[in-house]
Amino acid sequence: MKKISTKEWISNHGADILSYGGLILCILIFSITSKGLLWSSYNFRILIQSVCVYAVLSMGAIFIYSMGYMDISVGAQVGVYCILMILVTNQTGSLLAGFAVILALALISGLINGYVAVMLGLPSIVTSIFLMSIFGGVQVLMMEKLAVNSIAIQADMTLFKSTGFMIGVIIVLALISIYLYKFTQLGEYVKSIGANELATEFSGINTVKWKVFAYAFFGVCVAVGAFLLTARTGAAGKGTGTGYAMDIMVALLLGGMPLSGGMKSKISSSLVGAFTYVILSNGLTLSRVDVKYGYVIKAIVFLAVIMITCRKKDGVLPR
Amino acid sequence: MINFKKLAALGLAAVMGITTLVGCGSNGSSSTQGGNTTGVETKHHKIGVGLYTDSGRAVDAIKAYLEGISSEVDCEFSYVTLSTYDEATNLSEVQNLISSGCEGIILTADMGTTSILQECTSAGVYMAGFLCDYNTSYTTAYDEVFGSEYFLGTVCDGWQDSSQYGIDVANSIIENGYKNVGVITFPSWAYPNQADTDKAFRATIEEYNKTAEEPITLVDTVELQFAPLEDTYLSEHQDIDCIFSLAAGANFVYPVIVAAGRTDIALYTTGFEATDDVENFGSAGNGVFKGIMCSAPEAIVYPLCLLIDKLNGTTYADLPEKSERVDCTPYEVISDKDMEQMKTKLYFTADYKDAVITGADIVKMCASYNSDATYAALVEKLQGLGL
Repeated sequence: MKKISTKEWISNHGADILSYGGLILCILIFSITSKGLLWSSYNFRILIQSVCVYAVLSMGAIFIYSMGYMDISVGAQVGVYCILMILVTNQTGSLLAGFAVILALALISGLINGYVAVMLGLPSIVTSIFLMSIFGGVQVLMMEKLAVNSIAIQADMTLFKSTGFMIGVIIVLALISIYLYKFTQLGEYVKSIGANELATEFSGINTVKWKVFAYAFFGVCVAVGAFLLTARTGAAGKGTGTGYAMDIMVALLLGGMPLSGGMKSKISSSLVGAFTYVILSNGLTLSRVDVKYGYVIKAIVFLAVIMITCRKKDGVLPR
Repeated sequence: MINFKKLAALGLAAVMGITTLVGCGSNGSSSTQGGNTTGVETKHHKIGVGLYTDSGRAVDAIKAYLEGISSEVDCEFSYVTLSTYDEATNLSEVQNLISSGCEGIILTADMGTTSILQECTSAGVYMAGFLCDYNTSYTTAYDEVFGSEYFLGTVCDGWQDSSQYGIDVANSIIENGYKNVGVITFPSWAYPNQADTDKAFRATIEEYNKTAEEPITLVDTVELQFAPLEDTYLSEHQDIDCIFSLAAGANFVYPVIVAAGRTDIALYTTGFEATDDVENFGSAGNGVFKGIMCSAPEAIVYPLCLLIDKLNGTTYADLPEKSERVDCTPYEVISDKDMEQMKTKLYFTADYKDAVITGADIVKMCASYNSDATYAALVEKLQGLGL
């Protein structure tokens, strides 16, 4: 068996070291600057609550980003799903019915994103923009029709916003994602599509099928994310979900995910990135950093990540 | 492969991060000074303040005011920015404030209030409102919010019923001889009270029209969806010579007027940015702005006094059983003279020395520091905040 040198190991795991290093660095810095508040039991609970939705969405998004694609409709989708789930649940009195409706819709959206784009020969970003506009419009129309600023769920969701439940969801979904990503053809082919879609297609793989599967899994994650978000806030409105598309992209990049996908994509990017992203916001408030400076610090961190992960020979974006 | 440049970038980011955190951590966002000049023994408290935006003259003035009073009232303040639309953002920000040790929270947005209040209740943290009428909670979750012992009440952005401003603007329009007037509001689902102001405005104009030789034409009200006025509005209503905007006219209407080259239109609005609206008010600049209404930053004394007393375990003898929404008299600027007066106010100068309620006044207004203090006096103080 070939012995791997330390230098080679570092070379192979450079991105991992940097992404985990970034998270550890954040934790270390904020442990000092927050005077230990970062480690309080209350803060741990709110970190889990905040991370949960990002982690769930990011784990689904990994499959899309691995193909070198992105879905910017996720925020608008989450907004509509939250409102719909509340409406259906309030009407039927069944949380299960509410979740079933949004799950079905999320899968249909995944189908549109993955299949229609190929059929029409459109880049997936175009169908994603289309879905974002549709869902954004529907969200506004629904809230205006309801003539309220925010709609609350009447069902008791205490169980679903408990720390234990949220940790459980993260673990279960992480295990499923790892299994799909590392031990099934889905994971193998999405990375392959990201590395070279044409070569993948020429090697006899039905790329359309795997794209649809990837988007379908992302749809499931979006539905679960919307469910957890509703559990957390107990309400939804016109702006629910705003910014999630960008937040997830930033979280994945912070986790060391190559924006253009490919073989270097890793499922761990979603969890590491989600934690880094949330700890960054949480730590800045705990450290009593002025809001204005907070933006600058986030920008510096983001820029540093891009500088570190960028490989110039492949272009300006990290790969 | 990791190279030197990447390691250098990582190191640089770490150094910059630590330096900025150390540099900014104790600057601007909070104050820990203790002691006061009133001779009253005060207890130190940490209060979180969630503002509806992160910049602008109003934010500068509020922060300057709180910094100014911090040593007298023995409170330190931490700030976060809230969302007008997103419950999750607001909940996370409030959780972060609680985690940072805030014992009381003052919020300027009624979004996600029920879940925020549940969080405050479980953490034993009190909250109160500022520059917000909490209308959504008042109409859809009254018992959960106003019935909660952890929600102490709110001071509105001006009057709950700002019909009087509608009447005053109508009278000013009649006096100035404008004949084609448009009305712009935010959506009624978000700001139902604006419909009442519009109604009072229209009633006054219609009353005038009954005897007027040349009646005033009122264009149908347009609701802005928190976005600038459509360019086509001015081309559709070419005869318009005045706009009454209850929807942040300086941001959403004035730029459209300027872009269309229609600076002959008079603009009455709510909100105050202290930029274009000052330079072009009345006889100054292009003179587009004819009327402005906004609230004094000092109105924050209402939630602050209630929080301090609650945290000190004291209460006013005349405190109502259920939390209230109270008015504060807003600044109504409808003449050059008013604007000159406005320029001396804390809102405009963002200088604590211009505040009409000082830290020492606040100490006297708290039941825990002054046994003679009453809730009625606190509410009355808010009535004296106008010009």
